[in-house]
Amino acid sequence: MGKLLEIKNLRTAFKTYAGEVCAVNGISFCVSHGEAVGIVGESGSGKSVTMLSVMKLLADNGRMVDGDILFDGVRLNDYDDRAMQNIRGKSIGMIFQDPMTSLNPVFTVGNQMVEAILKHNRIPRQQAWQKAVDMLKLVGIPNAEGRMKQYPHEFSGGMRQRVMIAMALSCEPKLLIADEPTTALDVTIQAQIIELMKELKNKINMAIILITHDLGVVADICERVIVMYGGIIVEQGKLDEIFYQPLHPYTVGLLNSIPRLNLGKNRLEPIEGQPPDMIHAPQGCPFVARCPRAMKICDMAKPEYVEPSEGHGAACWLLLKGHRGEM
Amino acid sequence: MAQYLVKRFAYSVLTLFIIITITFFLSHAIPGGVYTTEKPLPQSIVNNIKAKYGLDKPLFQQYLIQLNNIVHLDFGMSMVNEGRRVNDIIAQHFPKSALLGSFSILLCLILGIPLGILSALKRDRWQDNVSMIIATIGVTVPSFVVATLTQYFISVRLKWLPVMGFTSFKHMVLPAVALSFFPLAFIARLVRSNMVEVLEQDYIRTARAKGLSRGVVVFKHALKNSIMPVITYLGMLIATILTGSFVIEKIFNIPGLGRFYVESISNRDYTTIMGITVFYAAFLILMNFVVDVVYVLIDPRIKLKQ
Ligand SMILES: Nc1ncnc2c1ncn2[C@@H]1O[C@H](COP(=O)(O)OP(=O)(O)OP(=O)(O)O)[C@@H](O)[C@H]1O
Ligand SMILES: [Mg+2]
Repeated sequence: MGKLLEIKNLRTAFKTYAGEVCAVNGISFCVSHGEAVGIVGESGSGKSVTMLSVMKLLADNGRMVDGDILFDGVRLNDYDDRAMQNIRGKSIGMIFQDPMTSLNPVFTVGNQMVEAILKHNRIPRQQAWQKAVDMLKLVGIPNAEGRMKQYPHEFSGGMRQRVMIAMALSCEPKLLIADEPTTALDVTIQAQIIELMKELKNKINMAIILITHDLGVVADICERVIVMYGGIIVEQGKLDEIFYQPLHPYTVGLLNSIPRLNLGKNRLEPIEGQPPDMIHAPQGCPFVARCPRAMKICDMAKPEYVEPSEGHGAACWLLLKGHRGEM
Repeated sequence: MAQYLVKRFAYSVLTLFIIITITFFLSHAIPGGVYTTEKPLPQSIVNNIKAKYGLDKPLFQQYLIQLNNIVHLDFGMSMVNEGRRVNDIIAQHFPKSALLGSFSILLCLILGIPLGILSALKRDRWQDNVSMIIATIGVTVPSFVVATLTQYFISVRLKWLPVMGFTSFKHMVLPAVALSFFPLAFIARLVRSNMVEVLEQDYIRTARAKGLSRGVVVFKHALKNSIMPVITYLGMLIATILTGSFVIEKIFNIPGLGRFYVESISNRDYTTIMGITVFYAAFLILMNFVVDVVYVLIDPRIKLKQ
């Protein structure tokens, strides 16, 4: 499998009242063709900002200050907004957290789907309409023809997220970025949407980057996991490696804070403390203040990211100092 | 739908009835009358005038007579403009005010909306600052100041446009500019603030994530969502501006309806006061209805109700 997306040392900053604040601070990872990668990490860790940087859809006050983004062999850094328009929606589809607000309330669902298809394909309107109907059927929306003429407010949350997925997939992208696609939905709908994404992934062989808080969802669909904290990647590896041989104390904490029935552990342990203040970014490891195994060095310098085994690594002084111990 | 229209019509008639009643009794409550002139008239003449217009009858009876006339869409004879029916006054002078008003509104829209969009897109940059300074001046400087200043500089000094009158398109330019100054600025600010808010909505990000061009995102997805308050304001604006402005018509000597309205009040021309008020009110009610319908056409979440 070749590399589809390659991010090298990405840094993204926002202008704020307190000057430029780095929300993403040197991130590197790859996604292969057809691979499903999960990005997990608590609120504010920079998951969305990372993917919005790839799409070049950052808010006006944000900019990419450093790094390279290579997608399918081309360097997106050099692309201006006009050039990006041919990537967005066509090669990279994106769906967002809140399906209730992600569709334009004053246009019909059909109108919004067709415009995306027509933007990227030179086909007659009629054919685009038919394509949209087919997509709605594919994502399991009953009475697709009739639904095309309805407005978003006539759909439930789950149905709207299906519409979003249908829209994102309508031009057969090579990569689907799903930013917390199920967070706003209730549990049964959540499961349906994840099931749908899994099914579609196999059907059209596209890569997925799934951003989520929910490790359960990650376990369900992803082959690889990236754990983010405070604007950096603290650990990444294959699903099993992350779940069974976590390297970073934050990953360990994350795993302990989710209910896992099969491990016979019945006490959940929340991670104590607050996420780091990005305005006064810590000099050392961003997790130091909450880390149960913090050492002197952690406060003073940032640990390098290292990979003890191929494809599985972490940024933690414990690895660098050689004493890995049981964690 | 039919039920909605019937209900709405009934409410409108009720509203008009209340307006007629209030107008009638208020206008008669103003001291003096048609016969009040600078030099007091002999009592016999006053009595003759009163008899001619039925002003000698008890007030309530006068009220019923006028109500009956209005039901037959006849506002009666003007008490001051000798021999003219109020209906004719409206028919003759309203089109002039309406023409000027339409031109001003067109000006407001084709300049105000783009100005607002530009400001929103270039938020906090010089384009935004310049347009908002213009807009602030627009909402603070009264129209008669604009009118007299432009009249003096452009017509009297530079002689580019006629000073007054209402016989050609050229005559319309300055009064239209003066009339549109405030609403233009107001619309620009309205569009700007709504556009800024809409541009931060999730569905705008979705539209961009689909690869749509900036133009489509702004003019299709954002504009339709930010235009609602402008429609509301426009309903009101059309009703006020089309029925004429006393001040502007006076300054530029335009034979519009606005002047008649104000003069009818100072002359105690009861029938003209009533005629123009009812006409104006009906126009406003109609515009409100149009706004509600346009709302439904623009935003599918809104339903006609009441
Ligand atoms: N427009 C912006 N201006 C200033 N700071 C921003 C902006 N957008 C994001 N940030 C900051 O960037 C950091 C990362 O935000 P991001 O949205 O990527 O977090 P996240 O990991 O996606 O969190 P969540 O799980 O809540 O979605 C946060 O600290 C946030 O405050
Ligand atoms: Mg996010």
